[in-house]
Amino acid sequence: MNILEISSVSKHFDEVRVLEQVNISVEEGEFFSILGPSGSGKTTILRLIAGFLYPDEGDIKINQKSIKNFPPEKREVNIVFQNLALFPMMNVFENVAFGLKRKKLSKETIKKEVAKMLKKVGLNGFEKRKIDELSGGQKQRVALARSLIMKPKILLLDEPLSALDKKLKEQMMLELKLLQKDFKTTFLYITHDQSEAMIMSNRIAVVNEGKVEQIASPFELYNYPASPFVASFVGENNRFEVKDRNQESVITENGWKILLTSPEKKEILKNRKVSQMFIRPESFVINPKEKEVLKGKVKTILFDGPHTKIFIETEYKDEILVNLKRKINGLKEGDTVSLGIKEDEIRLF
Amino acid sequence: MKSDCSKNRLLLIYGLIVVGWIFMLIVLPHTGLFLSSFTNDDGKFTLANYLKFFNQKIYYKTFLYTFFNGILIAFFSFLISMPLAFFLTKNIPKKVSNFLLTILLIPLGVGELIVVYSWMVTLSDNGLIKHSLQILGIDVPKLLNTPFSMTLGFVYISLVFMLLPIMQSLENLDNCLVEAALDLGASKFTIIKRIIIPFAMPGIVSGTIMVFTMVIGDFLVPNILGGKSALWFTEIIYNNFLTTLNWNLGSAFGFLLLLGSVFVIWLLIKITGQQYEKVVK
Amino acid sequence: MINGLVSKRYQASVFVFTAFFFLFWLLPLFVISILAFNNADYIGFPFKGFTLDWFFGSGNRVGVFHDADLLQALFISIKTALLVSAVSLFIATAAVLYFEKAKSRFKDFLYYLSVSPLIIPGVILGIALLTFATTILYFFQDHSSIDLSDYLSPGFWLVVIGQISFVTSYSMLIVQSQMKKFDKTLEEAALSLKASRFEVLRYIVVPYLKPSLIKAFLAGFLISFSNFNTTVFLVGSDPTLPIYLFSQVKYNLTPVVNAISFLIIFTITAFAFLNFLFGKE
Repeated sequence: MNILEISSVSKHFDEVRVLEQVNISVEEGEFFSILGPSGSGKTTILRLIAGFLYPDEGDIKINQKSIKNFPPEKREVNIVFQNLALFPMMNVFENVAFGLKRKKLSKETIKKEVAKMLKKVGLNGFEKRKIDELSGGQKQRVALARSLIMKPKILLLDEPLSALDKKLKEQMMLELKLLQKDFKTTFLYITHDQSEAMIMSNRIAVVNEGKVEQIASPFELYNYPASPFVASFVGENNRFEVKDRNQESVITENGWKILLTSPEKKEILKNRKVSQMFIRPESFVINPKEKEVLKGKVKTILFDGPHTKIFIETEYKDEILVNLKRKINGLKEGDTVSLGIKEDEIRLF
Repeated sequence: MKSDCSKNRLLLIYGLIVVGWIFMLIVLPHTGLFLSSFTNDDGKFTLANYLKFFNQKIYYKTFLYTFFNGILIAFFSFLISMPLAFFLTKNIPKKVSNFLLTILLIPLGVGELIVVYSWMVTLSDNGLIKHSLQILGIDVPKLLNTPFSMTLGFVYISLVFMLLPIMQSLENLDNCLVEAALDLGASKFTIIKRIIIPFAMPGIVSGTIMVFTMVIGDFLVPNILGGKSALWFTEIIYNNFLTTLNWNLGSAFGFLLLLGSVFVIWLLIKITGQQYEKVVK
Repeated sequence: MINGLVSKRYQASVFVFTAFFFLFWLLPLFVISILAFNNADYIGFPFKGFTLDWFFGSGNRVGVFHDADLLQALFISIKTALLVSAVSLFIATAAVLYFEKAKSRFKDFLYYLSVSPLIIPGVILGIALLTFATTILYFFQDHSSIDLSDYLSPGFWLVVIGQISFVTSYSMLIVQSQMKKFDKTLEEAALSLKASRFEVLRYIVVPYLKPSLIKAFLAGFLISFSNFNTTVFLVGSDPTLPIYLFSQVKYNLTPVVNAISFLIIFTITAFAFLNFLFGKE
């Protein structure tokens, strides 16, 4: 069942159109991410759902009921803000209890609920702490607890992890995912970091320049991007401008002619206009046993343990990136290598 | 939409309070002053109050004397404040600077009357300075009721109003700028002229405005420290209102004082090329 | 601290300059404080020995604590200052919230008007308020049976009303400087946690502003307590302390003035240092 439905929503500020006919539906219990570069309109979507903005066109429904005209306090959603927005003049208990107090619950109920919630996020005993005495991760948890205690239909998260360092971020990602499973609350997560979205989400909506480019699972998004933007924004990719094509091959801008023989590709070449070709770094094979399609010279090798990134200048002067699972012994800068390509992983647009 | 309503209701209350304050206590009184300045004793329109100002030498002479001194004292305050502000913000630790600032603010808290009176006693013929110098056998000329005592008093009461804005501007000055200039071989004079002064400019302008308006609108310093030799324009207004009870004439003079100070402020902002918004803040 | 600029000679000269400056700064307050204990009937030096007569005397020398008129003036000043500062703070807070939230086209215009008392000479504000109040008073007397003379003829209430006019501007600036640092997402967070607009104000905004509200109240108190230029036109038969002391200084000067000055200087200084030692800012 869809808990949230955004249908044909548009919004502009003054003359600038920030959202154009946006359609998103989120299922109950889902971890749903909205992924996009800064200025893509993703935060506007969140503020529309939260009620800090009202749409110019279209409708927003929670549980099939339009909330388009509701003020923030009438919407059953809560936000975890980018800067967390913890109240500095209150301690941990008062922060978490803030929403319950507004509901005019009894003192004992509030105390019990807060204690339960703090335990769940691993902060029992922190009630009297001041906000500025907490570590980054603890602050995250207080912010989560403060919102989750309201039992929102949807929890909106506005890039809450962006200020953390890499290690803590990875740990918090896992915690978020576990918390979401535990509470079974629908999470709507806003981020510009594709790895955060990929790791945690059930589904992702990629937005760019106020439009939704694609809504799909992380797997689909990576392997079957629906647009050139998605192909280049999600994960690393090698992009080639296509100059010409015929029934079974395309020719890139720099004159590289690549033969495409699978029935699927032939179908595309027959029926569609093709202007760009994307090949993932891991779709290349170095020194293949069969079907060499390209030669190139190794420019730089970056080795980071589990992966090796190799920058290669092809015989057509294209700079390409190749990712390998492990380093090939003996390969060094300046070597000439032959390259094969897994043809079914090539994407044409 | 309940939220917007309740938001607007709060905002409406704020707005009513603000408008009430501004109109009842600022705008209307000054409008009243303006109207009263064009009124004669019978309540009829007249220009006589203003004509009197231009016809009698003592009035416009005092007016010019007041304005000239206002500018002069603002300049003196600037001369003292600039090195002091630089010293307080850049040369000593924050803690010491706060301590010295506390001392600087004491006269402001004590209040103008007591401060001016204290200077009167200090400078008087049996005050500390003349008394101790006489013990040493040094005879000094009269200090009190001279242009010197008046200038001193004015600088004393107005200095912090110049110092604080300049300090505020200088606090935003990144020390690296000065160090970079030194590194690039700039002389100290160049640094002061090209970096420090331009940076402090918004503070200097708002400080000058504060000091200037304070000085020309002041009554106690010229009255207690200036003596009879220095007639101040506010003293004329004071006399019209409280001694001769000629309110309409006093209103005209008050309005001229206001007009003159607005003109000087406008001129100052124009000359220094500052933005009004920046100076006000 | 910029060390690049500091040569030995520069440092020494700056030190001497500062030392002299602070000596000059505290001199008059120091002089008055000593003379408050002078066992002589005249105001200045020479120092004739120590006495507490000017504080506690009740015979030939009437000390501060037995001088009924003086105590009355002091009491009126405190009463006025408390009232003015509280009301001003209330209006100022509403003004800050209004200027923060409002999207009105008149907002900028209103803002300039609201800070204008900072640069309008106090004398002008005084005569404007006096003229305006009198006009209204006569209007009501002529056209109705309402008698507002308790409030609008010179006296306690007119002083209070008049001082609110400009004390509010100062309070507003103090509160506003903290409001500028307010993180608006705190407000949104509270709204998202189902707080009403009033609850946001009550539980988030006001607690956040609390330090500046205290600061503004104290500043307002001091400004009101020591104001002379505006107040002098608004007082009736029950003067505030500065007005009373001015008449004493002018017409009936005795060392009691030194004594009350000392008490105020001492209170302010003690308070300033306590604030320096224990205050956060």
